[in-house]
Amino acid sequence: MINYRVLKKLVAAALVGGFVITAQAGPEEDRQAFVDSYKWKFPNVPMEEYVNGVYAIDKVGRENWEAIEEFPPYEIFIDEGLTMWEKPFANGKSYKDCFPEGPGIAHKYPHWDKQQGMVMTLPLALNQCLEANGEKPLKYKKGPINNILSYIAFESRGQVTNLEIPQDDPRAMEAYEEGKKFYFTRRGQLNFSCATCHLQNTGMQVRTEILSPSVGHTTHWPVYRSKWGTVGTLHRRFSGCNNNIRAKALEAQGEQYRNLEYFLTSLSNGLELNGPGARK
Amino acid sequence: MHTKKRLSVVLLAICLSSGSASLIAADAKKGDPKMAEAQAMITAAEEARKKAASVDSEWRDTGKFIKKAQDALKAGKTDDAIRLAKVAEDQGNLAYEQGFSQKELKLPSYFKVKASAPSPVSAAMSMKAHKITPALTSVEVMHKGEMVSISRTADENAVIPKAYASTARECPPFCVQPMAIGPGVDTIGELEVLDYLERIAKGDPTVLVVDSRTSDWMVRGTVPGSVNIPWNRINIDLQGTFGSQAEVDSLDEILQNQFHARKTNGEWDFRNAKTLVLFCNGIWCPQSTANIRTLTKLGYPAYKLKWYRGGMQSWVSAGLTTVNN
Repeated sequence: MINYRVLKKLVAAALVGGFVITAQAGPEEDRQAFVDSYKWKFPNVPMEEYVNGVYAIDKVGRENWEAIEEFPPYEIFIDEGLTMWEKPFANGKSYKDCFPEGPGIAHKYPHWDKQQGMVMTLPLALNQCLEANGEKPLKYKKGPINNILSYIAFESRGQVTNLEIPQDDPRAMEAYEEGKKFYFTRRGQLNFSCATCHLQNTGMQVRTEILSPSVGHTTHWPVYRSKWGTVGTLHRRFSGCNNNIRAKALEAQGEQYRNLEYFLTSLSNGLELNGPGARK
Repeated sequence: MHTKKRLSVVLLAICLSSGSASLIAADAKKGDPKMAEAQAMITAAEEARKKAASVDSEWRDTGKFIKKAQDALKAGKTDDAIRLAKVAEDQGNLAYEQGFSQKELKLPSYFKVKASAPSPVSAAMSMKAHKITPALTSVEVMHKGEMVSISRTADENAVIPKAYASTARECPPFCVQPMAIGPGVDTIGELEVLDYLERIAKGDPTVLVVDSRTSDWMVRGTVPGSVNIPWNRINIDLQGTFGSQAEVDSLDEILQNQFHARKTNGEWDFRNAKTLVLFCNGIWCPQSTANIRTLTKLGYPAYKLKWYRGGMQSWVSAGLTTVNN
C-alpha cells in the first residue's frame, strides 16, 4: 500500500530541493548480508542459535560443549570477578563508583566515545577506571582482567546486542568502516582475511576445526578455551587468529582491534549476550 | 654488482651507526666480505620488515628470521645469516606488497550487500537510469581478450532481437525444460551469471561460462565472457558409450583442456575441474540440459555445474549487452 499523495509530495519536495536520495548500504545492510550468507548455508539454524558460535553448526562439537557447560569451567572466574568488583581500591572507591549502573553493562560496549574520539571497549573502560583511581591497569589478554570481565559478562546475560553508530560524529562511522576494512583485508603469509574463514568458508574445516560464523562472534566473551586452560579476552582471540594465518598480531586494545570489535559487534545486533563462554 | 651495492649500504651504516654494528663492520673490514654482505642483508631485511609494518601487514615470522640471522652472524655462520636474512627480506617485501595492494577496501564477490529498498523518491528519480539492479549499473568482463562492459540498453525503442522473437517451437526437440535438472545442480539467473563473469574477469581461473549452442548461433550474439562449446561435442549416447573415437577424443580434450579435469588410468578426476555455467537459447532449449546430464554421468560434481535456464532469450529480453563472435 503506497500512499500516492505522500509519494507525490515527496517527489515534489525532492525535485524542488534538488537532491537525490540514493539507496545506501550501511551497517544494517552489512549485517543482513552476513545473515543472508549464513542462512543460505545453514537454512535450518535459527537466528538465536548464532550466539553459540560454531556449536550452532557443529553437531558433534555441540554435544561435547553441552557436557562441558554442565559444570562450566569459567565459574570460578566469575566468583573471582565478583570479589574484584566488591573490593575497594586503595583510595576507598571501587568499580561500583565508575559503573554506578551495576555490573550488567556488557551490552553497552563497545560504543563510540565522542569525547575521546575512539571506540570504547569494556576492558578499556575498566582500565580507565583503575587508572583514574590510582590503580595499576590490567593486562588486556591474560590474567585478572578476565575475572572481572567474566563477572560482568555473567551479570549481563540476557541483554541484547544493540550497537548503534551515532550520527552526530562522522568519526564513529569511520571507525566502523575501518573495522570492516580490517575484516576484509588479507593478512599474513597465508593471505587470509577474517572473511576468508568466517564468511566465505564458514562451516568448512581447517584441520580438525569447523569455522564459525561471524554473526555471534562477540556475544560470549570472555571465553574459557580448553586450549588455553583458562579464560581469555576477545582481543587475545584476535591475536590468535592473526597468528594462525601467520600475520604478526596487533596490539590488544589498539585502535585496529577496537575498530574490528566495533564492526563485529554490529554484526551481532539483535543477539543476546551469553558470556562467559566455553570453547574448545 | 648486487654485492657491491649492499657493501656501500653497509659502509654508510658504519659511518652512521655506533656500537655492535660498527664492530661487525670493523670485522668485515678486516677481511671477511661475506660478513659485510650478511650485515647488509640483515639491514635490508629489517627495512623490508618495517615497510610491511608501516601498512599493518607484517607477517608473523619475519622478525624471528631476522633475529635468527643476527644470531647466526654473531656465531660467525655467515652463510646461514645470509640465507635467513634473505627469507626475512622476501617476506617483508611480499607482506608490504600485500598490504599496499589492499589500501582500498575491495569487497569480495561472495559478500553481497543489498542496498536497502530504495525510497519511493529515489525510485521515481532514477526511473531514467537503465541499471541492472539499483546498485549495479554495469559489469566489466573479458571476451576473447578484450574488455566488454555489460549493461542494459538505454535505447527506448529496443525490442527483443528477431532471432529470439519467435515463440513457435516444435517439441521435440524444443521442449520446455524443468526448473531443476538434477540434484545439486543450481539453476541460476542473470545476476548470478554476471557474478560468475565478473569472477572470471578478475582472474578467477576456476569458473567457465559455456554457450552450448552450435557455432552458427554465435553470429547472432552471445553473452560477453562466455566461450562456445557446441553441445554436440559433449555427447555420449544412452548406453554411456561414444559414437566414435573422434567423439571420445573431442570430449577428452574439452574435459582436460577447457574444464581442467584430469584423466589418470582411464579414470576422471574432477577435483580441480572448473565450475561451469551452461546455457543455450532459452527455456525450450534442451542442449545445455543434455550437456549437464552427460557431465553428471561422467562424474562431474553437481555442485560445479550451474544452469542458466533462461539462456539467450532471457538475456536479450533484459536488454543486456551481447557480443557477436
